[in-house]
Amino acid sequence: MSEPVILTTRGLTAGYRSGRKATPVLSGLNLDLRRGEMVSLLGSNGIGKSTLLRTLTGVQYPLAGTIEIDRRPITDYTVRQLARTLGIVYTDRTLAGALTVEELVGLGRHPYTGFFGRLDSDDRRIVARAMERVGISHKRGDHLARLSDGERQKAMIAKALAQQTPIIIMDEPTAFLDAASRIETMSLLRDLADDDNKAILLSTHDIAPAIDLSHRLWIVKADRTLIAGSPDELTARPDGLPSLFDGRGVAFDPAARDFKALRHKSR
Amino acid sequence: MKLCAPHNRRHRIALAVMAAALLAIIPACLLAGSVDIPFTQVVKALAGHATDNPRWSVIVIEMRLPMALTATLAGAALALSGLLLQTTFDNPLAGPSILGISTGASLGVAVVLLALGGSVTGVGYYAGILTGAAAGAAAVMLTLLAFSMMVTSTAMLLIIGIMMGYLASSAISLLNFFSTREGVHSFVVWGLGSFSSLTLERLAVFAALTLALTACALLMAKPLNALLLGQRYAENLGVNIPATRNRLLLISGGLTAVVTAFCGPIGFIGLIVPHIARMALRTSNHSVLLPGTALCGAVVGSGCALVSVIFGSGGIIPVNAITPVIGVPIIIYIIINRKKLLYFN
Repeated sequence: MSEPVILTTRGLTAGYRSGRKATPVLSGLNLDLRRGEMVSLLGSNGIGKSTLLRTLTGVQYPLAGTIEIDRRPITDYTVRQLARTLGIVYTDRTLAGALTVEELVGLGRHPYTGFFGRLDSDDRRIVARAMERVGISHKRGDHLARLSDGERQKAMIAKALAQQTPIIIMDEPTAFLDAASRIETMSLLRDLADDDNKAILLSTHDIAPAIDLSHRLWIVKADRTLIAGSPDELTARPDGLPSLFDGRGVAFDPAARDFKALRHKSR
Repeated sequence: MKLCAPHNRRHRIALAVMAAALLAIIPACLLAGSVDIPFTQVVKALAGHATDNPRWSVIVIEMRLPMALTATLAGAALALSGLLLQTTFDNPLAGPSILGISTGASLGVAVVLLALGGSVTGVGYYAGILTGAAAGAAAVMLTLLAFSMMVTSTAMLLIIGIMMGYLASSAISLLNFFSTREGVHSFVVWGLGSFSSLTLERLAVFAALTLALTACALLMAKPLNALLLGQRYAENLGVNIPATRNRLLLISGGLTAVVTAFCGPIGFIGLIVPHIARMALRTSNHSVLLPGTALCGAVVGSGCALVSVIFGSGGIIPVNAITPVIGVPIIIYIIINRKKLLYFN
């Protein structure tokens, strides 16, 4: 891939530290994230996907190793610089239901606005374009509480776009969405990588759309090793996707690009 | 932040209604009372002219006016304090009284008054209770802050706040039990909770402090809006969480401490007014919600003062006997309807 690498980790160990006791979750990670690529992070619940994402976003300190964004250690960034470099979308419930879509997306301009957070005409244009980009403009005056889960997620993605960061990292952006919204959201993310040259990293449990739409996959296997590769490569490798849920009673079905129950595989 | 036209209109109407209510209640506070004073005489007294009965001028200028203004300022201050706490702790049921901050401030005052045994008066008295209230409020807030790092559930943190309040109450009872009669008397007088105990000079000090802290609160709209999305989003938007949180707690605690020092512990206003303001304005956008909450708090505070006089049959009902009557039904309404309320979803 010709696009430049924007985020790199070398010898990264992600995990928790409480007092003097360190609990590594994922270790020895040498990862690269490029502009213009969408990477899906796959793995079972509790395997450490969120821990890794929190570490990559600078919320949690790594136990070992380095993270660099644009060849600069993430620890050198101020909070405000990082806010202009790396946008985040979670599925957390918020108390922001009485904000309108436009107000929420406007919060994405937070790292650029002055003391009072007032938006100038440039900011408003960026906000309008972000809403347009994700297809939520028609709901701009609606309160977040009145949106469907899929619409709310779009609004959150628009917020991240208004932040104008080269990297967007999302923790399960498709959780709680119905099948149509899941695929729609993932397609939108792919477009943002292709057309807007964003580096997009998301964790997800939606295997088939992740295979179809991602440029690359990072998969965390049961033994907590992480393998990176293209969807084609990882679906073909026996130690790739097919071994993702080893010993859990499911098998990978390449035709469906998804996992099926072992007992009913013959049907 | 530019808003869509229909929201803008709603905000303007709601704010105008609140302002009109305030402009109706304050004159009513000057008219109402055990002594009947004609409207024209009240105006005369306010203008500084001699009234037909010289006592009327004293009553209006030195009793009714300070009470109306104290209640207005205290209501606004407590309401803002509550809003700051609700957004900072990401918990719509937070408030200065429920988190034990008012009780902490009371404990601080109790320590000062009972230790000094009712011997101080004048400036020393107010400096003493202000220091005591600020120290007490700060102690409770620091404890809450420490627990908020260990306890992630906001409901649990609320319960810790309530427990802190009980602990402070118990300490107050113990202090009362072991102190002198004079000390107990001055503390009991202070602790009734009242808007009516300030002289004009003390009102000036009270107004300066509350207005300064109110101005600080109004300047926090930007980080407060980011905090609406929760701590993790706020941090990603460039908010320095520890510094911002400390600043917000300092302002909120300061507002509660000042009101508690001058008026005694007053419950419910800080908890309910932010909700009334959110429902009236239909927004959580702090650029609108902060001034709206301050204004609404002023209305509720002065309204309580008016009620305490009108139904006082010659006397003044303690404020804390009125606020729960208004507050409890509103809180129950909010809890029952939380699925329908915008800002809970």
